[in-house]
Amino acid sequence: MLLPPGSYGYISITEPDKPTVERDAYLCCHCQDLCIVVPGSGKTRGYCYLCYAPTCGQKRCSERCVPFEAKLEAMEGRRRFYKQLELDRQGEPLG
Amino acid sequence: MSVAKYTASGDQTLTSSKVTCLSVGSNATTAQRNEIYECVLGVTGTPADNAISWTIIRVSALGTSTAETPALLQDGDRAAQAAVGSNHTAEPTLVTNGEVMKLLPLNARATFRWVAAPGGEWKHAATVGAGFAFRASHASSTVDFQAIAYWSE
Repeated sequence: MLLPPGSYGYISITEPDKPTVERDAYLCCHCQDLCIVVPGSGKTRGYCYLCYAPTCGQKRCSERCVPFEAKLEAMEGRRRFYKQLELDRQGEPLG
Repeated sequence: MSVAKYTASGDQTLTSSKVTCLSVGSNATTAQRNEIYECVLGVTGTPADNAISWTIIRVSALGTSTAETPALLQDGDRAAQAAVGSNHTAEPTLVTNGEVMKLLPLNARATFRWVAAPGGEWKHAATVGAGFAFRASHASSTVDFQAIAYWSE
């Protein structure tokens, strides 16, 4: 799987008396799950051709494209709406 | 445009069910997005060969904890607005399917570090109580574990 240069994050696991394990990692563009790249693992990941970025491979992220930024805006929009109606996060009247 | 960067750490004692050592989220007065770009996970107690199960998960309420004052990484920036807590006595409210790092098994002797690619940070919504919780568990070990988070606001 190819990503544009600089798109990978990085993880390292250091342990006494063992070599340091270093791996590339990226966040799913739909859910922001941390995906660690392990060459030869056989782990199936996905790719969104609308976001032009890899996904975690889970069904909920593969079957439709909802960029994570859109999800954040929806969460914030719900909160603003409830606030305007003077409701708490569960939709119950404040106070 | 330069963004302000902060860091904080939190620790907790392991139990057989997941407990939170650190939470970073939006404060109760001025909701804002925080973007976590680096984290370090490890054990501060006596090291032993135990496989500790870590998870990092989104939360919708930050629970009850000891308030931590984030440190500035760049002099001259304003104080952090994020609500940061450690050593939780009441667990945060977890978001269903909100794990951003699922059940990473890590030897207690090991230290784990993740650094995000530019633009690939963990972000949470600008809603009061939204944030991330760093949690771990072990069937029998009761050592103290610690998480360090670095984020920008």
